[in-house]
Amino acid sequence: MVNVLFQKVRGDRWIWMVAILLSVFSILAVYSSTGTLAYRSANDGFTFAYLFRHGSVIIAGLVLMYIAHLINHKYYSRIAQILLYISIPLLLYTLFFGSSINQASRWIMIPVINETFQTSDLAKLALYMFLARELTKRQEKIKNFKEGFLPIFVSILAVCGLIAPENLSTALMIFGTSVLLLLIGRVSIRQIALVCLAGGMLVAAVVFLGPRRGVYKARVNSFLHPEMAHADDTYQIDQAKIAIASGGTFGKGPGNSTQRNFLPSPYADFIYAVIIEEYGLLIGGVGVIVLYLIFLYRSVKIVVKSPKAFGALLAAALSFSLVIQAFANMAVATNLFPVTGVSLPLVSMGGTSILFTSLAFGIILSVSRDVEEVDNQ
Amino acid sequence: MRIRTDIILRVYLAYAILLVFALAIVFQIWKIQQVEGEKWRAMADSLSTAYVTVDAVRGNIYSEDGQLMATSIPRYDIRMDTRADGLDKELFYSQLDSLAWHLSNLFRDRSAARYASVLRNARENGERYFLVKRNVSFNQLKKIKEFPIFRRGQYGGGLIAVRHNERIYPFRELARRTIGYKLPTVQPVGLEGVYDEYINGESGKRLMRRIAGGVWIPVNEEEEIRPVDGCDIISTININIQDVAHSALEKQLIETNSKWGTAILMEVKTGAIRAVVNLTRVREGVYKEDFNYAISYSSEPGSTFKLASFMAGLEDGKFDLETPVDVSKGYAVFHGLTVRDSHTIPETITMQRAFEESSNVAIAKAIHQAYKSDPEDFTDRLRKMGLGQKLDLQIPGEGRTRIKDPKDKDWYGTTLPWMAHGYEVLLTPLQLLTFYNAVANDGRMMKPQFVTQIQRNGQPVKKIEPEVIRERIASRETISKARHLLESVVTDGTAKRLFSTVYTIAGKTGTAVIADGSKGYRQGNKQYQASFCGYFPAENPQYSMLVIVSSPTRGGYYGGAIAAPVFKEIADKVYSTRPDMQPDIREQYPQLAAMFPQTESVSGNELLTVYRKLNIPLTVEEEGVWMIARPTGSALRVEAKNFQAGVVPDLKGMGLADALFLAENAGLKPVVTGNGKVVVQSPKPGEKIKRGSPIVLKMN
Repeated sequence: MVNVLFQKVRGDRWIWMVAILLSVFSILAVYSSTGTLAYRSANDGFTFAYLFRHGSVIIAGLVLMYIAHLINHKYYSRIAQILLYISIPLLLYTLFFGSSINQASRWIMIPVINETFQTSDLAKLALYMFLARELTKRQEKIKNFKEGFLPIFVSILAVCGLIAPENLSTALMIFGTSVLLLLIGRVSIRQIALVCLAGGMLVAAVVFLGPRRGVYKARVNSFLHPEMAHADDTYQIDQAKIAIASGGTFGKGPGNSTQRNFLPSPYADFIYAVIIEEYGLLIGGVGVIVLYLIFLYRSVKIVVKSPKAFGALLAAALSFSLVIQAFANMAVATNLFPVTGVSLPLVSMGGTSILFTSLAFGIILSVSRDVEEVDNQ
Repeated sequence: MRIRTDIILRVYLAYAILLVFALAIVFQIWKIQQVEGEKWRAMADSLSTAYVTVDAVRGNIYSEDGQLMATSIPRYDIRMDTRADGLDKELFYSQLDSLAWHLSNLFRDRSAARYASVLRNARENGERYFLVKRNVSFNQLKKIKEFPIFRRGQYGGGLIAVRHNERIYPFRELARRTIGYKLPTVQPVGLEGVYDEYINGESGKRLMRRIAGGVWIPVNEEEEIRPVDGCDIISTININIQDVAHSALEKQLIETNSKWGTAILMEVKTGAIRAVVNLTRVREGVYKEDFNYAISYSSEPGSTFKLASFMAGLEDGKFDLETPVDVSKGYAVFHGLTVRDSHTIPETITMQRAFEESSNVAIAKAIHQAYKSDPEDFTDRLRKMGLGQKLDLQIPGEGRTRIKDPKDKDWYGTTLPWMAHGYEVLLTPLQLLTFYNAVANDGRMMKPQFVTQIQRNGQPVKKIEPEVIRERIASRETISKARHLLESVVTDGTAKRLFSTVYTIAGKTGTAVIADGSKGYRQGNKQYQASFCGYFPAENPQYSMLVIVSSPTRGGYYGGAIAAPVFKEIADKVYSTRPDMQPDIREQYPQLAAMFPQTESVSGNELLTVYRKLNIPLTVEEEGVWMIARPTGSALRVEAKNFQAGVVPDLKGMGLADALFLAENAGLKPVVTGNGKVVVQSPKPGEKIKRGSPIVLKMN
């Protein structure tokens, strides 16, 4: 059975392994952080309801990954364009009519299946794919501003600009990742500086004029001056630090987290802290980082081996974006960054986020499948 | 190819950057764990969660007649998490005044402005468990949950309601010890204790977290495991009888300044305990339900035990009621120890007379004579009559009982004659009463019963039927002789003062000398225990009762003088409230049956209602607000009575309520003496009224 599966499955084995190990971590950590005695006794099967739901999403993600990796990666160039054109109106819709969670309007309801989904998840995937496409197409005249650079410039600013008012941190992350991709794609420093300038103005506008300006101020203040902040404002990060500190080197063991009762959304933004608390610095803390690094390393290998520029840039864009997001999430959980709402790819609970991450994995695997086939020939 | 190498180079560079980033994260984790570790772990210790038991609402204890003897009401402490996650600044300040107004309006203890400023301060101080109001009722809580801000719940509005239950005993001291109580760290007592597992329900659990300052606040709005409320207990206690018994005994204890007393009333047929009073002197004149003497106090019963000795002799054919016995000396010596009578009867008397007069000498001699060669026969007989064994009561703490055995080490030559008159045996009051009750119940011994049913939401969970301990304690003949003896004590013997023409009491007095602590019987002041045990009505026993008054210091010490009057007072009250126990009044007083109850002026509606209810034939001449009824021939004639304005009304024959109403309406100031109906009034009817002038009403 396993053999049959292995025969059917193409693409980099290491990346598949990373995806599966992260899924296992995800299921364990989500089950633990949603599964307090409370739920168990109040309503039998309630935890299992969460577990079942989360498990189904993970499996759906793996299936999606499998399907995505079967598609020849050259088709993703066109798909990227279509997805981006869909995302822009969706972002607009979310900004004005989205449902709000934590006072930020980031989500829209998908009518039939009644699932919320964060439009920025779709938009960023679309944007990275689109950047890979554009950078490939315009590689020859990349240093030319008008023909080579303008579409890239516009798409980045449009996506980030539409996300920023309600979700600045994600917008900043997308922006940073995009800049990194531009650097990899050999865009000239002058032009990148221009993007940064425009981006900086955008950020400034959002920070000082945007609807959530109060929140930023408080968060940045409490990050810069934790000793001055009200205990409530540093509450989340304090709880996360307690989780990390009490995890020690080897952790408290699966399911033994106590901080899950204090951390807000321990199954999403702060799941890394819970993982460290339960599995310790070595297995939880370093282990998860190593998994992402393996993933990134294998992706870099694909980039190097990829015969076509699009494949290389696509793999680079998606893998770097995912790892950057992962490290951003960890940086928040460990208080390197101020508190933001960035999920840990493939680990945090949250249906659409996992599905889009799986899609990204699938696309990278698709590229690697093509690389393997070229190798085999 | 240059482009490709360029890109690959840049990718490796980016990878290196992220590698550094990864190292930074690991370093940061290490720093948090090692460098700052102590601080955070200490914080973890102070911030912890725990599942706290949430007590269920205890069930109620009802009396036989459906009165609440013990009940729990939930009370809530209203607290506010002024820094609740969903309670942002804008919301708080925009609705604060409204919330304060509602709170002030509901509790009326602080002004709205005061509430607003208190809550504002609490928020500014970051209070997460701020006490708004203690001991709020459930209905108030329901209203509070509708208030602005609070209606958003714990996370959205900071409302935290902490429940605790308050146990309430509406009848206070009445049957307090029997109802019992349950307190932490104290052995549970009485019904509350025994039926705890039923009454208690199942406790729930609530996840609490400790916040700064060592206070615990609930993590979620509702209990994680909801408590299940306890069952209700239907006891056999009749609260009215209990009330009567309590006050009768208390009065006597105060009057005689006795140490303690107990009174137990048992329903003959079922063994149901209708009242059980246990009073201990706290200080002179003050008595409390403090110790359950009725079931726990084990002592030598004294003369009341003679019934058992007599029945043993009768059952074994050792003597009969007519058997003569010489008590003329007033004492008898057994193995060098003397048994004395409290008063010497200088002649030879029958055994029946000896029982009536409670002669110690007679029964000691008779039993000694009869059983000295085979004392086992006597002790076996007593045991066959159900004595000397525990009752296995529904309430714990039953005192021990003992009928000595001739094989026992402490069986002496004097034991038999002493046992005969109630010493060297141990019985609790309830064990003695159970024996007497069996005699009243034609020999069938019933187990004393305290609880008849356990209910949940009005539906029976468990029914407890009356239990027979022994189908027959002695032959029919012996029982009827025993009952004859007990009746003659009241008609001719030591309890003559209980004689009543209305109904008959049967019973036996007891005056036991009790050991005064470690000093024994002889040294120190002699202490007495006056008792009366019996049943009524004698010919068709409904209730049996035992009254014990211990260590009286005033007004004598004989059972007939001290305990019997208490018995009578309780019995009288019970009898008067049980019409079914009473003979038909028409048979008893045929002349009354022919009389019409006539009335002077009374409120019209009430008069008609009463007469119609009683099926009294009447002819109504004229209806009015006030009416008068007079017998005419074979029916009552009812007329309206009118009062003329401005003149003093005729109040004669009226009850106080009607008289006051009319007098005050007429502008007079009534001055009332006596009670009953108005017999004399001044000024007289028909005189002109001076507003505000007094009217004297003599009632009789």
